[in-house]
Amino acid sequence: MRAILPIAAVLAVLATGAAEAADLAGIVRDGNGAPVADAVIYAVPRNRPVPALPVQGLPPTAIDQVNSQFPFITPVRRGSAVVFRNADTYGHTVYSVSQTKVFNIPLSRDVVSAPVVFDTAGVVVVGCSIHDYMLAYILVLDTPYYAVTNATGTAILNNLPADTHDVFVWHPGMAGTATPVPLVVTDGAIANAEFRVPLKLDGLWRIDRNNPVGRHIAP
Amino acid sequence: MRTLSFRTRILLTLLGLILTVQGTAFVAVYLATGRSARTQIEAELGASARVFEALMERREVELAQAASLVSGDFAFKTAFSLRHQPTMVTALRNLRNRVGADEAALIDPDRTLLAADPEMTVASERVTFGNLIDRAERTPSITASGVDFVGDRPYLLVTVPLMAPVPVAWISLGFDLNDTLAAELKELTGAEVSIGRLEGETFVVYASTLPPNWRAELSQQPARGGWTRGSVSDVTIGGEPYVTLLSPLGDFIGSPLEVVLQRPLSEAMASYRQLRLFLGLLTAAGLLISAIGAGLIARNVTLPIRRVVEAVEKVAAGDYSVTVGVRRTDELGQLATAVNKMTNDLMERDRARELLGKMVSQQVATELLGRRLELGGEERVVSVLFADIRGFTRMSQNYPPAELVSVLNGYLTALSDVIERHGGIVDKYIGDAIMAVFGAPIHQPDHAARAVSAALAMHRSLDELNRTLVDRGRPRVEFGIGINTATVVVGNMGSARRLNYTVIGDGVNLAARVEKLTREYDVPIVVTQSTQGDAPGFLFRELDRVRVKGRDEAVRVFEPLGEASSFGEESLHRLESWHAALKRYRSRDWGGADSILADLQEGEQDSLLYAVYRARIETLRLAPPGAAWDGTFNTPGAY
Repeated sequence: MRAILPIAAVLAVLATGAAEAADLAGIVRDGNGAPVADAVIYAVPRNRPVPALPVQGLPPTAIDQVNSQFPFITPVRRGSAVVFRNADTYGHTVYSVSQTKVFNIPLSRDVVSAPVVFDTAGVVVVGCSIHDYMLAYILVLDTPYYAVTNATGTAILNNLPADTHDVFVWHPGMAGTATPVPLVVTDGAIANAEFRVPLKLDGLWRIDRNNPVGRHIAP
Repeated sequence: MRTLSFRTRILLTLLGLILTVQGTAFVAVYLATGRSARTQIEAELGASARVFEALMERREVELAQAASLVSGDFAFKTAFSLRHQPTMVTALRNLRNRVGADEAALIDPDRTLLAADPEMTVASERVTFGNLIDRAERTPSITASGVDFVGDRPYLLVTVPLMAPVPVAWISLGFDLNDTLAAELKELTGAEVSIGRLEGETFVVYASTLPPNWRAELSQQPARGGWTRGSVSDVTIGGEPYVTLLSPLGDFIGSPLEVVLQRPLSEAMASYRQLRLFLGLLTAAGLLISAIGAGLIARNVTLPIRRVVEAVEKVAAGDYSVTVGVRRTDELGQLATAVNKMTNDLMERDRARELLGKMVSQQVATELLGRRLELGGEERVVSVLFADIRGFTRMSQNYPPAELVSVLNGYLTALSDVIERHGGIVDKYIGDAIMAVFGAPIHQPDHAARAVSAALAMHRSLDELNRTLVDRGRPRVEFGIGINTATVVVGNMGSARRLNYTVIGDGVNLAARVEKLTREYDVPIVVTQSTQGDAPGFLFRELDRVRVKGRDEAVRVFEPLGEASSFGEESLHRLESWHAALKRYRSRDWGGADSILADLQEGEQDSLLYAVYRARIETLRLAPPGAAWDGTFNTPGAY
């Protein structure tokens, strides 16, 4: 598996003050060097346990349906919950048949679902059985250190503990499973990293709502 | 070989022509329909092939669409989400039943078979489905279809993704290319459909609308040759010729499959059979009508001809009363008119001939009618016969005029008949006299003998006539006959407008003169020496040597007594005596001659000849003749 090529693992850790934490600024590019949006960068410290979930749990992450659209990528920490909020004036039925989490939640208009707790790490493909073109990915992670790249392919992970982290990149169009990149994070510094992710573009599913029957693959 | 009648020939000719024309038309149409049928059936077969192709494509699309709907089916996704193999199998069965597929399979994105219904060996399907999934992933519609084998059966396979909402697995649906499908396709294309694979010399049939034994025949077909893909050939199956098209079957993934479309040749011919039948009937009817027409025409032509023939046959038989009743203005009418005219002319000529025969002798009439009439004659040796009633003047006084004519006519008729029977011709009647010629116009070498024979017969004939006259109390009719044989001129004499076939010359006159001598010697017939010399076989009595009026030369004259063979010893003896007496007379032995004559006279009291000579002798004794006397008698006066 050579999904992530740590071509430029920038090791220069800049001091950011006395705070016992550091930030990671990562940029994800595809095989051609173009920035990749909607990629999740997450880090797993090697020598420290990740902080335990609070007893009362984390506040649930909201996934809204607006104009028959999900947010494309939603990373969550394992054990946390997600609520689906229907902002549309019509109904949706949110479902997943992924092995990570199977659910099927009918949502009338302006309804917020009961929290769905994700106990297993992994990818959950979410759809709407009323609208075939609605697609979302929920990435259930064992770490609280993650971020989603923006249109420039950049994401910033805040408050990483100083440690050697295994840094992962995940994207729906990625071929295969990610291979982590070790990264040493020093307190008060900002770590910069660039990730090369060769995308199997025809594996990236975007569904054209104007032509849902065709279910075209978007590059 | 029998000769055909004109009518039959006309009929046959017309029928032959009509048959040729109609037959040609029939054959042309027959062949054209045959060609047309073949063209049509090939076109139909081509259409069948296109329909078949379209149907297969359509079916693929329909199956893909059905599968697509399935691929979004939430219940199936739910079943899939359970990751429970028996559940998936039942779900697949449910799916399969819903779309009518023969095989349904669920395949993992990594090409692992998750479930299948009916169950199948994973190994055999992995490649096939994998190929299809690869193809589906490359297409915008994420579906793929094609023909390939599942196990040992050819299937039409369709693969669609199970969308949840991205492809989480692949659903493959298979439709067995079986007899049911073939039957459906036959329904739509109208052709016999067989699906199979070319394996060397064999065509392995997987599905067909043909009955099993015919399939076996079909499978042997490639070995017989002429089976190339895309070409049309004739294949005989079950004894019936099928126009056959072999073409590749759709999209095949693995080994190529062929579809064989067949239409019986008879099917296309069926539509033309009616036409051919009609044409045949039309031809037959045409022939019948033509035959009747030709018969009528032939009859129309030959009936007048037959009438003419009948008329001409009657005319030939001598019936001139017939008239050909053909009232037409064409050539046949002209023929009839000509025949009628000919009949009329013949009748007139026959009448003329008959008349001519009455006027002239039959032979002359024939001669005249047979030849061109030319003025002029030729020299010919003939025998001329004169017959004359003796004492006609006296006779005419004893008879009433009407009876005289009757008797005369009877006499002339009887004698004329005798003359003609002996081959002579009656040249003319001169009052009560008959002039006849032997040896002209027909050459007769024995004309002298004929003339003599005729004269003797005439004599006998007159005896009979006289007997009837005597019975009726009328006096006998005596006559004299003179015959001379001489060279005369024979021919048509007279003027150009009026001819007479006759003989002229000195010899004719002599014949007339010797006839007169019959009175002198009281004998019925006198012939000259030339006649006597030319008529052997007759017994003659020399009468005299005479010098007739107008002739210097003396002529010996004879009396024919009859055929030499019919005389007895005594008659000949007496004739010898007579000739001896004649000899003595001429040698002036008056006494010798007279005594013989006296003896002869005693035997024949009524014969005047002896008396005539004894009277002469008496006169000569008294006044002996001069030295110049040679026994010749100079006829007195008129003759």
